Amino acid sequence: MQYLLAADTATSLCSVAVCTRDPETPVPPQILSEVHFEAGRRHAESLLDAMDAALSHAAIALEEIDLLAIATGPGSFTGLRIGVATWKGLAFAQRLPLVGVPTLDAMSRLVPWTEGALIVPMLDARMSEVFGAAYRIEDGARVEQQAACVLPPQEFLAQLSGAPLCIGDGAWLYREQIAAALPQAVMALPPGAAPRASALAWEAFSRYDGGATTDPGLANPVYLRKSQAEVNRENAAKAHDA
Amino acid sequence: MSVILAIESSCDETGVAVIRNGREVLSNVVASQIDIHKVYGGVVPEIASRQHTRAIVEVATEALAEAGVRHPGKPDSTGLDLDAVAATNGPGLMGSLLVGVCFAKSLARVWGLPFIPVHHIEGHLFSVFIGDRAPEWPFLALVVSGGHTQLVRCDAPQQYALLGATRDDAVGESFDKVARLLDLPYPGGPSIQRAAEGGNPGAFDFPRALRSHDSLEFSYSGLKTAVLYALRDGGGPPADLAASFQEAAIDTLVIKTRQAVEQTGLRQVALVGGVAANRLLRERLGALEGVEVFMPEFKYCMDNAAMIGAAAHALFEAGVRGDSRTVPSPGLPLV
Repeated sequence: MQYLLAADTATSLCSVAVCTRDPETPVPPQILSEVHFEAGRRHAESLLDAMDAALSHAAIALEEIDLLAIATGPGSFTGLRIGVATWKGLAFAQRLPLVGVPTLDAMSRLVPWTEGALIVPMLDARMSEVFGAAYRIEDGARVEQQAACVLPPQEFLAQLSGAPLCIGDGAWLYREQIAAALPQAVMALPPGAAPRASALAWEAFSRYDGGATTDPGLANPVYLRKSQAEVNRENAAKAHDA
Repeated sequence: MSVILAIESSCDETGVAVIRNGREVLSNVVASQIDIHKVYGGVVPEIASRQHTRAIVEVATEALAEAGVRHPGKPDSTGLDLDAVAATNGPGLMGSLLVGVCFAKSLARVWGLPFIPVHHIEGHLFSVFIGDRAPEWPFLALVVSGGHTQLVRCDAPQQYALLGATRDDAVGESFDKVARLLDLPYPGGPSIQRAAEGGNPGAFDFPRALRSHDSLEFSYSGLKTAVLYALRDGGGPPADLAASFQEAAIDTLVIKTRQAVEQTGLRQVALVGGVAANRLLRERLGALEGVEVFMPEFKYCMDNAAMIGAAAHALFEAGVRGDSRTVPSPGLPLV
């Protein structure tokens, strides 16, 4: 059996799960425990305790864990850094492989993969924008239709058509815009559509099997936004060129 | 006896060090971001946090391997046993501090070792304890960096009294600002020092703020403005401007330190912080009569994890412990 310890701190929710599977069988992983709560801005003080609670409920010691997985974003910059720095520390200290998992890819596993479905995870990116991506289920497999991006909701929705299944706090926040732009859209309401470490774990197993890197140094956040200083500098350079 | 792995990530240097008994540095690895921030003329907090997150595993791996300590998570590993894990928990940039503290707490949790949070300035104070020669408590410290200009009475670990601080700019900050005025690259400390070589320090009579004042406070904004006015009035050779500015900035530090020695009767002075790397300051302070000055090596003036480990040793002995819920405090006061 293979044991995986996963965490998602990309939003204000803190989610930690211990999952297991038999790598020889195609059966979905089993969730041994999942600790899930609203951490607000307290990820840094809660995360290790949440991990200990998850391990304790699963009756698994940290030494028995074979694989680590962490959400790499997009999401809250601070939340991502707390999760990544903490999980990098675990990986370095225990010499464990660490799989970085994109948040929206993991979220696509929160809902059933019915044939032909268009799954659209959306997270509130503040500044009147969403982090979004779109996946089509074809022949039982997930095909990326729209790579993770950060856009104003109208612009993001303009790239979609048909009857998407919209999930995440961004979908809830902009439900009126979704209904107007895509009348056939289906909303998965909270709480089922919030990022969860168990979905992340499932995605991590799949990536691990696909040969994804497990180097802890390379499990870095994907922010999708540059720092304001970089934006200002690029704008100044553009103005200068013009 | 203690062997401590320490992490520093309060600003733009990712540092990991292993230090024995607070004095003997077994490894001290620093990944500097200066080249990344240079184009912005100063440290960009968001970029700094991102760089720490990227660099921390590589820096820690190198520091642990170089130190010859046993990797607690590696069954075949041999060497000295670690006793604690420490990290800077303030003051500094929140995003940057979080990376070091979160990483350190994980190490402490996995290895079953105590986690020791360290005040960044207490780390700088302990930089003079690295090596064979150290001051005896109580002593006086001049803390000079990009964020601090302070005279501190050091009575014992964790027992400090602030005798005076800057009312406005820190001295390192004034070097950065004046460097910008003179079109010199960031960081201003080394570039002004270089530009001042061969310049006439008496060419411009820049002010020594609060010189005859009894208080031990500093003020550096007026000095920067004086340089600005000198430039507006026609300026002069850049070497003369740089040398005259440096002379005034350093002179003020020496005047106030001498006053502090007279007022407290403490004759041992520790010179710490990034500006402690300034050659003129080291020379002038070292020449003060009747005063024994302790200065860290250049590599321990800049932000580094060895000094955090040196302070952590004293805190370890005193029983200071953090836990899994410890979070950084960007405005953490020393006293």
